[in-house]
Amino acid sequence: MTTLLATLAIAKAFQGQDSNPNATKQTKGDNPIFKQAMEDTKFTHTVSKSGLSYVVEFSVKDLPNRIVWVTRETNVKNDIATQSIYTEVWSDKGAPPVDVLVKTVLRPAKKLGNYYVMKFDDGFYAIRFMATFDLAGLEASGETRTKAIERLKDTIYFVNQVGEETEKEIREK
Amino acid sequence: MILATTLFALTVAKASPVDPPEPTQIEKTFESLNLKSTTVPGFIQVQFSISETTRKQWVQIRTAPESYRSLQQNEVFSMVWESKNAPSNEKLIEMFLDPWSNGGMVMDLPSEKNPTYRLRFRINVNADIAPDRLKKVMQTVAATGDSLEKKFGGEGDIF
Repeated sequence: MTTLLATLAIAKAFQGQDSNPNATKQTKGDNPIFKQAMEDTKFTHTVSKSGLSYVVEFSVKDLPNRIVWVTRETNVKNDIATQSIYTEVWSDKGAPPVDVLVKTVLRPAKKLGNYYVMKFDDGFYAIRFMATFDLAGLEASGETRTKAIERLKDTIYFVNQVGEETEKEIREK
Repeated sequence: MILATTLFALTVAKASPVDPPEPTQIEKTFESLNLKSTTVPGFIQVQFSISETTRKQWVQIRTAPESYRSLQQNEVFSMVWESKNAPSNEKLIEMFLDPWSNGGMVMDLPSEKNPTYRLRFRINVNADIAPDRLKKVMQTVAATGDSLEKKFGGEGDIF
Protein backbone atom coordinates (compact mmCIF):
# COMPACT_ATOMS: atom_id res chain seq x y z
CA MET A 1 0.00 0.00 0.00
CA THR A 2 1.31 3.38 -0.92
CA THR A 3 1.61 5.63 2.06
CA LEU A 4 0.81 9.21 1.40
CA LEU A 5 1.07 11.98 3.89
CA ALA A 6 -1.49 14.70 4.17
CA THR A 7 0.58 17.68 5.14
CA LEU A 8 -1.76 19.04 7.70
CA ALA A 9 -0.37 20.39 10.89
CA ILE A 10 -3.33 19.88 13.14
CA ALA A 11 -3.08 22.52 15.80
CA LYS A 12 -1.47 25.07 13.52
CA ALA A 13 -4.40 24.88 11.15
CA PHE A 14 -6.47 26.94 13.53
CA GLN A 15 -5.96 30.23 15.25
CA GLY A 16 -7.49 31.65 18.38
CA GLN A 17 -9.40 29.91 21.14
CA ASP A 18 -10.33 26.87 19.11
CA SER A 19 -6.84 26.14 17.85
CA ASN A 20 -6.57 22.90 19.83
CA PRO A 21 -8.74 20.17 18.29
CA ASN A 22 -8.79 18.47 21.70
CA ALA A 23 -10.06 21.49 23.58
CA THR A 24 -13.71 21.38 24.54
CA LYS A 25 -15.80 24.38 25.48
CA GLN A 26 -19.23 24.21 27.03
CA THR A 27 -21.97 26.74 27.00
CA LYS A 28 -23.44 27.47 30.41
CA GLY A 29 -27.06 26.52 30.85
CA ASP A 30 -29.51 26.32 28.01
CA ASN A 31 -28.51 26.93 24.43
CA PRO A 32 -31.65 28.79 23.19
CA ILE A 33 -31.36 27.28 19.72
CA PHE A 34 -31.26 23.78 21.12
CA LYS A 35 -33.93 24.49 23.70
CA GLN A 36 -36.29 25.46 20.88
CA ALA A 37 -35.27 22.37 18.94
CA MET A 38 -36.24 20.17 21.89
CA GLU A 39 -39.63 21.90 21.96
CA ASP A 40 -40.03 21.26 18.25
CA THR A 41 -39.43 17.53 18.62
CA LYS A 42 -42.78 17.43 20.47
CA PHE A 43 -41.27 15.00 22.96
CA THR A 44 -42.67 15.55 26.44
CA HIS A 45 -39.58 16.46 28.44
CA THR A 46 -38.60 17.89 31.80
CA VAL A 47 -35.38 19.18 33.32
CA SER A 48 -33.42 16.77 35.53
CA LYS A 49 -33.03 17.42 39.26
CA SER A 50 -29.41 18.41 38.71
CA GLY A 51 -30.50 20.86 36.03
CA LEU A 52 -27.88 19.52 33.64
CA SER A 53 -30.13 17.60 31.27
CA TYR A 54 -33.51 17.34 29.67
CA VAL A 55 -35.29 14.13 30.59
CA VAL A 56 -37.32 12.17 28.04
CA GLU A 57 -39.16 9.13 29.40
CA PHE A 58 -40.18 6.10 27.39
CA SER A 59 -42.55 3.50 28.72
CA VAL A 60 -41.44 -0.12 28.60
CA LYS A 61 -43.88 -2.96 29.08
CA ASP A 62 -43.58 -4.55 32.56
CA LEU A 63 -40.50 -2.50 33.41
CA PRO A 64 -39.77 0.93 34.86
CA ASN A 65 -39.81 3.73 32.33
CA ARG A 66 -36.58 4.20 30.41
CA ILE A 67 -35.01 7.62 30.71
CA VAL A 68 -33.06 9.26 27.93
CA TRP A 69 -31.05 12.28 29.04
CA VAL A 70 -30.22 15.10 26.64
CA THR A 71 -27.56 17.52 27.88
CA ARG A 72 -28.64 21.15 28.14
CA GLU A 73 -25.14 22.53 27.72
CA THR A 74 -23.67 22.53 24.25
CA ASN A 75 -20.18 21.09 23.76
CA VAL A 76 -17.99 22.86 21.23
CA LYS A 77 -14.89 21.06 20.06
CA ASN A 78 -12.89 22.42 17.16
CA ASP A 79 -15.89 24.57 16.18
CA ILE A 80 -18.24 21.55 16.01
CA ALA A 81 -21.19 22.04 18.39
CA THR A 82 -22.88 18.93 19.76
CA GLN A 83 -25.28 17.75 22.44
CA SER A 84 -24.87 14.41 24.21
CA ILE A 85 -27.85 12.07 24.34
CA TYR A 86 -27.52 9.04 26.61
CA THR A 87 -29.24 6.37 28.63
CA GLU A 88 -28.15 4.00 31.38
CA VAL A 89 -28.04 0.29 30.64
CA TRP A 90 -26.52 -1.02 33.89
CA SER A 91 -25.54 0.23 37.31
CA ASP A 92 -24.31 -1.13 40.63
CA LYS A 93 -22.98 0.28 43.87
CA GLY A 94 -19.51 -0.76 44.88
CA ALA A 95 -18.83 -3.32 42.18
CA PRO A 96 -17.00 -2.55 38.98
CA PRO A 97 -18.99 -3.76 35.99
CA VAL A 98 -16.44 -6.36 35.03
CA ASP A 99 -18.46 -9.18 33.55
CA VAL A 100 -21.28 -6.99 32.39
CA LEU A 101 -18.91 -4.55 30.79
CA VAL A 102 -17.15 -7.27 28.87
CA LYS A 103 -20.41 -8.71 27.63
CA THR A 104 -21.75 -5.31 26.74
CA VAL A 105 -18.92 -3.54 25.00
CA LEU A 106 -17.17 -6.55 23.48
CA ARG A 107 -19.83 -7.24 20.96
CA PRO A 108 -20.72 -5.94 17.54
CA ALA A 109 -20.62 -2.21 17.85
CA LYS A 110 -23.61 0.02 17.48
CA LYS A 111 -22.22 2.24 14.78
CA LEU A 112 -24.30 5.30 15.63
CA GLY A 113 -23.17 5.63 19.24
CA ASN A 114 -20.85 4.35 21.96
CA TYR A 115 -20.89 2.71 25.36
CA TYR A 116 -18.93 4.19 28.25
CA VAL A 117 -18.40 3.59 31.96
CA MET A 118 -19.12 6.12 34.70
CA LYS A 119 -17.45 5.81 38.09
CA PHE A 120 -18.83 8.06 40.81
CA ASP A 121 -17.15 9.17 44.04
CA ASP A 122 -19.50 7.06 46.18
CA GLY A 123 -18.40 3.84 44.48
CA PHE A 124 -21.36 3.77 42.16
CA TYR A 125 -20.67 2.40 38.66
CA ALA A 126 -22.83 2.71 35.57
CA ILE A 127 -22.66 1.75 31.93
CA ARG A 128 -24.28 4.14 29.53
CA PHE A 129 -24.92 4.30 25.83
CA MET A 130 -24.47 7.69 24.20
CA ALA A 131 -24.93 9.24 20.80
CA THR A 132 -23.99 12.78 19.89
CA PHE A 133 -26.18 15.19 17.99
CA ASP A 134 -24.50 17.67 15.65
CA LEU A 135 -26.30 21.01 15.85
CA ALA A 136 -25.62 21.78 12.17
CA GLY A 137 -28.82 22.83 10.49
CA LEU A 138 -30.67 24.06 13.58
CA GLU A 139 -29.83 27.69 12.85
CA ALA A 140 -31.20 27.39 9.34
CA SER A 141 -34.83 27.59 8.35
CA GLY A 142 -37.18 25.59 6.19
CA GLU A 143 -36.32 22.09 5.07
CA THR A 144 -32.77 22.16 6.47
CA ARG A 145 -34.04 22.87 9.98
CA THR A 146 -36.88 20.37 9.63
CA LYS A 147 -34.35 17.69 8.73
CA ALA A 148 -32.18 18.63 11.72
CA ILE A 149 -35.17 18.34 14.07
CA GLU A 150 -35.98 14.94 12.58
CA ARG A 151 -32.39 13.85 13.22
CA LEU A 152 -32.66 14.98 16.81
CA LYS A 153 -35.85 13.00 17.31
CA ASP A 154 -34.38 9.91 15.70
CA THR A 155 -31.19 10.15 17.75
CA ILE A 156 -33.32 10.14 20.91
CA TYR A 157 -35.34 7.19 19.58
CA PHE A 158 -32.12 5.35 18.69
CA VAL A 159 -30.57 5.81 22.13
CA ASN A 160 -33.77 4.60 23.75
CA GLN A 161 -33.92 1.54 21.49
CA VAL A 162 -30.30 0.54 22.09
CA GLY A 163 -30.81 1.08 25.81
CA GLU A 164 -33.82 -1.22 25.84
CA GLU A 165 -32.09 -3.91 23.80
CA THR A 166 -28.88 -3.80 25.81
CA GLU A 167 -30.59 -3.86 29.18
CA LYS A 168 -32.69 -6.82 28.05
CA GLU A 169 -29.59 -8.62 26.87
CA ILE A 170 -27.76 -7.99 30.14
CA ARG A 171 -30.77 -9.12 32.16
CA GLU A 172 -31.04 -12.37 30.25
CA LYS A 173 -27.38 -13.31 30.78
CA MET B 1 -22.34 -7.74 -39.10
CA ILE B 2 -19.45 -5.52 -38.19
CA LEU B 3 -21.87 -2.91 -36.83
CA ALA B 4 -23.69 -5.54 -34.75
CA THR B 5 -20.43 -6.77 -33.27
CA THR B 6 -19.37 -3.23 -32.43
CA LEU B 7 -22.67 -2.47 -30.73
CA PHE B 8 -22.46 -5.68 -28.72
CA ALA B 9 -18.94 -4.79 -27.61
CA LEU B 10 -20.04 -1.32 -26.52
CA THR B 11 -22.96 -2.76 -24.59
CA VAL B 12 -20.72 -5.23 -22.79
CA ALA B 13 -18.22 -2.51 -21.99
CA LYS B 14 -20.93 -0.29 -20.54
CA ALA B 15 -22.29 -3.04 -18.33
CA SER B 16 -18.88 -4.31 -17.31
CA PRO B 17 -18.73 -5.43 -13.66
CA VAL B 18 -15.38 -3.67 -13.29
CA ASP B 19 -17.03 -0.26 -13.48
CA PRO B 20 -16.27 1.55 -10.22
CA PRO B 21 -19.28 1.96 -7.95
CA GLU B 22 -20.89 5.36 -7.67
CA PRO B 23 -19.08 7.28 -4.89
CA THR B 24 -21.06 7.74 -1.70
CA GLN B 25 -21.98 11.19 -0.45
CA ILE B 26 -19.11 11.24 2.06
CA GLU B 27 -16.63 10.25 -0.66
CA LYS B 28 -17.76 13.15 -2.82
CA THR B 29 -17.45 15.50 0.16
CA PHE B 30 -13.99 14.20 0.96
CA GLU B 31 -12.84 14.58 -2.65
CA SER B 32 -13.75 18.27 -2.54
CA LEU B 33 -11.21 18.75 0.27
CA ASN B 34 -8.30 17.80 -2.01
CA LEU B 35 -6.48 15.98 0.78
CA LYS B 36 -3.94 13.33 -0.07
CA SER B 37 -5.35 9.94 0.77
CA THR B 38 -5.23 6.25 0.11
CA THR B 39 -8.23 4.04 -0.28
CA VAL B 40 -8.89 0.45 0.62
CA PRO B 41 -12.25 -1.08 -0.21
CA GLY B 42 -14.83 0.63 1.96
CA PHE B 43 -12.48 3.15 3.55
CA ILE B 44 -10.66 6.42 2.89
CA GLN B 45 -7.40 6.80 4.79
CA VAL B 46 -5.55 10.01 5.55
CA GLN B 47 -2.39 10.40 7.56
CA PHE B 48 -2.08 13.54 9.68
CA SER B 49 1.06 15.06 11.13
CA ILE B 50 0.65 15.97 14.77
CA SER B 51 1.96 19.48 15.19
CA GLU B 52 5.03 20.17 17.29
CA THR B 53 5.89 16.46 17.30
CA THR B 54 7.27 13.98 14.82
CA ARG B 55 4.22 11.79 15.34
CA LYS B 56 1.65 10.91 12.73
CA GLN B 57 -1.84 9.47 12.97
CA TRP B 58 -4.00 7.67 10.45
CA VAL B 59 -7.66 8.62 10.23
CA GLN B 60 -10.14 6.49 8.33
CA ILE B 61 -13.59 7.20 7.01
CA ARG B 62 -15.99 4.31 6.46
CA THR B 63 -17.51 5.18 3.10
CA ALA B 64 -20.78 3.28 3.53
CA PRO B 65 -23.19 5.09 5.86
CA GLU B 66 -25.09 3.47 8.70
CA SER B 67 -28.79 4.21 8.80
CA TYR B 68 -31.55 4.45 11.38
CA ARG B 69 -34.79 6.18 10.38
CA SER B 70 -33.69 9.61 9.07
CA LEU B 71 -30.13 9.19 10.38
CA GLN B 72 -27.43 8.54 7.83
CA GLN B 73 -23.99 8.63 9.38
CA ASN B 74 -20.44 7.67 8.53
CA GLU B 75 -17.73 6.64 10.97
CA VAL B 76 -14.57 8.74 11.16
CA PHE B 77 -12.09 6.85 13.32
CA SER B 78 -8.53 6.21 14.35
CA MET B 79 -6.92 3.09 15.79
CA VAL B 80 -5.46 3.61 19.25
CA TRP B 81 -4.58 0.14 20.57
CA GLU B 82 -4.21 -3.38 19.21
CA SER B 83 -3.31 -6.74 20.75
CA LYS B 84 -3.61 -10.44 20.06
CA ASN B 85 -4.71 -10.81 23.68
CA ALA B 86 -7.91 -9.52 25.22
CA PRO B 87 -7.36 -6.53 27.50
CA SER B 88 -7.67 -7.16 31.22
CA ASN B 89 -10.94 -6.10 32.80
CA GLU B 90 -9.17 -3.24 34.59
CA LYS B 91 -7.68 -2.04 31.31
CA LEU B 92 -11.03 -2.33 29.60
CA ILE B 93 -12.73 -0.19 32.23
CA GLU B 94 -9.95 2.38 31.91
CA MET B 95 -10.41 2.44 28.14
CA PHE B 96 -14.14 3.02 28.37
CA LEU B 97 -14.17 5.29 31.41
CA ASP B 98 -16.07 8.59 31.15
CA PRO B 99 -17.87 10.02 28.16
CA TRP B 100 -16.36 12.02 25.33
CA SER B 101 -18.13 15.24 24.44
CA ASN B 102 -18.15 14.08 20.84
CA GLY B 103 -17.41 10.53 19.81
CA GLY B 104 -16.29 7.56 21.84
CA MET B 105 -14.44 4.27 22.02
CA VAL B 106 -15.25 1.04 20.27
CA MET B 107 -13.58 -2.36 20.66
CA ASP B 108 -13.40 -4.67 17.65
CA LEU B 109 -13.23 -8.38 18.42
CA PRO B 110 -10.84 -10.71 16.60
CA SER B 111 -12.17 -12.03 13.31
CA GLU B 112 -10.87 -14.14 10.45
CA LYS B 113 -9.86 -10.98 8.65
CA ASN B 114 -8.34 -9.20 11.66
CA PRO B 115 -7.18 -11.66 14.34
CA THR B 116 -6.58 -9.00 16.99
CA TYR B 117 -8.48 -6.96 19.57
CA ARG B 118 -8.58 -3.40 18.29
CA LEU B 119 -9.60 -0.26 20.11
CA ARG B 120 -10.68 2.71 18.03
CA PHE B 121 -11.73 6.27 18.79
CA ARG B 122 -14.48 7.42 16.48
CA ILE B 123 -16.86 10.23 15.76
CA ASN B 124 -19.98 9.63 13.71
CA VAL B 125 -20.77 12.35 11.20
CA ASN B 126 -23.89 13.01 9.21
CA ALA B 127 -23.49 11.73 5.66
CA ASP B 128 -24.28 15.20 4.32
CA ILE B 129 -21.72 16.97 6.52
CA ALA B 130 -20.15 20.08 4.97
CA PRO B 131 -16.54 19.68 3.74
CA ASP B 132 -15.02 22.16 6.22
CA ARG B 133 -16.75 20.41 9.12
CA LEU B 134 -15.60 16.98 7.92
CA LYS B 135 -12.04 18.27 7.88
CA LYS B 136 -12.35 19.57 11.43
CA VAL B 137 -13.77 16.27 12.66
CA MET B 138 -10.88 14.40 11.00
CA GLN B 139 -8.39 16.69 12.73
CA THR B 140 -10.07 16.11 16.08
CA VAL B 141 -10.06 12.34 15.55
CA ALA B 142 -6.35 12.43 14.63
CA ALA B 143 -5.37 14.50 17.66
CA THR B 144 -7.51 12.49 20.07
CA GLY B 145 -6.43 9.20 18.52
CA ASP B 146 -2.76 10.09 18.91
CA SER B 147 -3.16 11.11 22.55
CA LEU B 148 -5.07 7.89 23.29
CA GLU B 149 -2.44 5.80 21.54
CA LYS B 150 0.16 7.31 23.87
CA LYS B 151 -2.09 6.77 26.89
CA PHE B 152 -2.85 3.10 26.24
CA GLY B 153 0.15 1.98 24.20
CA GLY B 154 3.08 4.05 25.42
CA GLU B 155 5.28 6.26 23.26
CA GLY B 156 5.24 3.99 20.22
CA ASP B 157 3.70 5.53 17.11
CA ILE B 158 2.12 2.58 15.34
CA PHE B 159 -1.11 4.08 14.12
